[in-house]
Amino acid sequence: MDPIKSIKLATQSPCPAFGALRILTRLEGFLPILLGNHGCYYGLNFLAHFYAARKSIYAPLLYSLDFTDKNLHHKLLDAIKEIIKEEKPEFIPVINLCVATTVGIDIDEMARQIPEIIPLRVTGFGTRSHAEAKDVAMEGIFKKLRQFGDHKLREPKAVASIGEVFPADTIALENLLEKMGLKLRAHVPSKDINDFRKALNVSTMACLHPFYTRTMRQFGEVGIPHITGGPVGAEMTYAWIKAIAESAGADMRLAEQIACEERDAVQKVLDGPLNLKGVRIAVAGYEGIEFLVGRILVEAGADVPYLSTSIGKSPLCEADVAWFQARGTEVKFRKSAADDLMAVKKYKPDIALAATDVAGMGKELGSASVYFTNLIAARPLFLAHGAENILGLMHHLLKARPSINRVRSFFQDVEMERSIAIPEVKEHLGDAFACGWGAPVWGGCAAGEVAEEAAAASDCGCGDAMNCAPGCAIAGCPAAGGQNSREAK
Amino acid sequence: MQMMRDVDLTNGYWGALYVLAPMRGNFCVIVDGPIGCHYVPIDSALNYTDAIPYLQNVYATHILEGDVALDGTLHKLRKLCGELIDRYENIFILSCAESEIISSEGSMLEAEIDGRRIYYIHTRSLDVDDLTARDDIMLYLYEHVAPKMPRLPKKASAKPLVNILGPTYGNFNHYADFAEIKRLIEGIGAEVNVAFPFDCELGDITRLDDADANVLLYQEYGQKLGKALGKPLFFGPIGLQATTEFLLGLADALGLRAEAEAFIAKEKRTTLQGFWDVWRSPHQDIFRTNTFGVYAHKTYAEGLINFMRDELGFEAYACGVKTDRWRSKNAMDIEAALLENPPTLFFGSINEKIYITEHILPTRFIAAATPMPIVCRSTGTPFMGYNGVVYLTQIVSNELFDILYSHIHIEYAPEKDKRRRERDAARKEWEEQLKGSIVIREVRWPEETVAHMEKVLKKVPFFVRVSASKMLRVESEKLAKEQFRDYVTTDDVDQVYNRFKR
Repeated sequence: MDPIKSIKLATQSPCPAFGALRILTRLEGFLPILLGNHGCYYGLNFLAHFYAARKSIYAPLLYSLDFTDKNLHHKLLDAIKEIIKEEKPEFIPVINLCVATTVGIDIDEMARQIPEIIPLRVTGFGTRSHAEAKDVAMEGIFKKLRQFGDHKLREPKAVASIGEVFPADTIALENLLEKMGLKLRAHVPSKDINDFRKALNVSTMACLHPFYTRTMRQFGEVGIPHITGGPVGAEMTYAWIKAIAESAGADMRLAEQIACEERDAVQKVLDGPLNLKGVRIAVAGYEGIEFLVGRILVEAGADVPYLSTSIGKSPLCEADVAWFQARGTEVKFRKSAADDLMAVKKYKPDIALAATDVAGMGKELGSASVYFTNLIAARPLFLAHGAENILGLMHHLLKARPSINRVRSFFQDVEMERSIAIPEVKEHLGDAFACGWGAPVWGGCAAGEVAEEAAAASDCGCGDAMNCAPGCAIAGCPAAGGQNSREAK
Repeated sequence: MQMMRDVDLTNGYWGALYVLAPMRGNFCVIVDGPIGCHYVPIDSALNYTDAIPYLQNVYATHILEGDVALDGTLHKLRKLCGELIDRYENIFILSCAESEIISSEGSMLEAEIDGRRIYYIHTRSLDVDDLTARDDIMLYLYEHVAPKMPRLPKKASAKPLVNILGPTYGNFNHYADFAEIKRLIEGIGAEVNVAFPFDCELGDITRLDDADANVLLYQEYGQKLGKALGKPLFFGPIGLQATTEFLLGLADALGLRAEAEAFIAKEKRTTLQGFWDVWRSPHQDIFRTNTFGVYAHKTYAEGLINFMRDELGFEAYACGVKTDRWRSKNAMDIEAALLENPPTLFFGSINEKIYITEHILPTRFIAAATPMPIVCRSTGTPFMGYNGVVYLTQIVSNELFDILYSHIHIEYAPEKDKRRRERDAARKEWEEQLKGSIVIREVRWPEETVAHMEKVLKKVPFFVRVSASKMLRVESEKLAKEQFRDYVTTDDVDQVYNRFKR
């Protein structure tokens, strides 16, 4: 039987509308309105709350008949006016979801009639990832502010940064810029609309995440240049500091000195006891932040054979792509879950940083996989402190494997439900699974051969002599191959 | 145009999916829609709450811009069906709002590929709500799908057979309630025939007619199927009396009266012993002086009202049944009701929890409805049956005691030094006063403030009112003194009162 080609093993991105809501529900004074159907309202409301939005989302009750109603536009406007009267919001982002976009509800016209409205079109078929939906939302906000003339007070030697980063990272940026006589005037997205206003008046934007392409166009139009990447890893820290200094008009001699200091500090961490020499890590993210993480890992000596993202290729990623390709990393844009699974099969990494489905499969197989968003994206990355943090986490993951595997081995004798349907995975991954689910992918398929070896080894170092038996699935056990036994020593 | 806030009931597409997906067997579901139609119900709502990482029998067409604007989605559906038809005995295609609006004509496939094995379900996702769809799809499976499937033989059992209808994905607490209902049915000496769709192979739907009685887990949906089956019908009970009536009614329908009475007697001495003990204790006195509210689906809302009000003795404030919001424009405005009369305890969904937090109400929140970003996989948390009686009593008692502790005076660690200085100053002042060298200014309580304090105290549960009034008095006066005022304002009272809500 031929493999199923057109199936998606799992979705590759959350519903894009969620990305936009992430930004909009956090903004104080904003009152988001969705235009779509009840399933979307309910689901997106749930999702927003799950990610701690704690803000009400409004939506009109629409039946299919309403979409043929010639007066729908006016009825919606009246309903929105009513809400403005009640809630007095500063801005109303109105989001056209799939259905509303398809039937052509004209939100631009609404915005012309009610100035508070920020018209946004975010669809599951058009916006390719939830990260890019954040870009759509940010572009909409900046466009609106420009219409209100909020971009006319240019401030010299001021910088704004864009991208959702750990709060400590913005503090690190602030301190770094201050040393160079620059000011971090604002960081967006934030909860305060004034930060967005301030960002429209700085001398340089630091675009920390590479999917803000539309937003950067808005800044280009008001004459604010941007630089890409962030101060991560030794090489880029140096380059980034020089770039921001030059673009924002800092003293270049001072910048050179600071860039060298920071670079050396990062390098010291990368070369220190936290280095990752001999560790293979696959990085499967989805927002482009994986470029920043990957740089730290590679510079710390890790072998990063694969790096994937859900966003599309853009000029904002160029420098990163070239850097990784020069080091032999396979970079995949608009990846599918199948791509990530194939990479896991091909490269057999010690650690897989991946989205839920692939990370879930990794856990079932005994790898130190973690969910990218929760564990990696929510951490400081910048400068020496960030490097220390990420490297520390990697070592923590490697060390925690035996304890995680104790639970896993408990379930090994029963055919439990898997995150990914087994027949499909087998088709996609072929012989990686021929040895059965009991054996880890990493370490190859030699579980049969090494089983005796494992049984002979009285203490394989997996920390769990009780469960260490033929076919030991515990990573770090010789059964899992030489690559993994390193950490046991 | 009715504008809704925090939509808490989903649509026909979700309803159909949540009935079909839990069943086992060699069939699959295809979602004809864009990425979000797969991601939001399955990868997020189910993954985050029921913790089902991936539904292996659900595929999606993931339509893109070109399909919407130019080609329609039929070609994608056809291709996917072609690939899946040899693997699965049956395929269910679900339309979603998007494919319905671009009229992708998916129903053509039913005739075109294999009318017996491919079922196209027009979920009418813009016009039908979640619960109606669950109702419809359960009946559809019985009336249209089951007759086309090979008939399975009747379960060989000497015991009377009972179907459980309605445990589906995306409900609140269904694992625990389902387990308890199963326990009760078996307790009176009957056997579960088909637990549809939860513990059920797709083929099992041909055996639905074999049962002697049907138990509907929820009142919200499933009645169409229940009526079509024609046997005696019972609903998942919440509370002592409802459960007893349920057991006796079901037993009478099955000819198991004596067994049921024996089971109830045994339950009183075992399962319900914990309830009896708590009920005799001072806990129950506290119940009677407290209030509660609920905004949940029909089964839970009505069940909780019966149990909390009629059996535990709570006073009911702000109660509503969730389906109202979708079906009528006169739906209770739960936020307004909460503000007007905040109850001590409130059972609801994340939305109500947010209203309570937003307005800093003193009300304690207990999860009792979807949507709620919590996992409910333990079977030890039932609301239904005798175990539900014990569990609900327990969580309610514990919540009330937690309220009590938050009203009892505590010496805040960061304020210890400040308090000591205050005590020293007050002693000095008192000594000076005794010596006659100063005249102490007394802090006055203007009438307006006293009235306000009385109003505030009414919002405090009765059983903690003594502690609360003491604290309000002492602390408000302190606030006044700190600001060199010789009278207490309503603001002072409010400020102290707000600390109770922690």
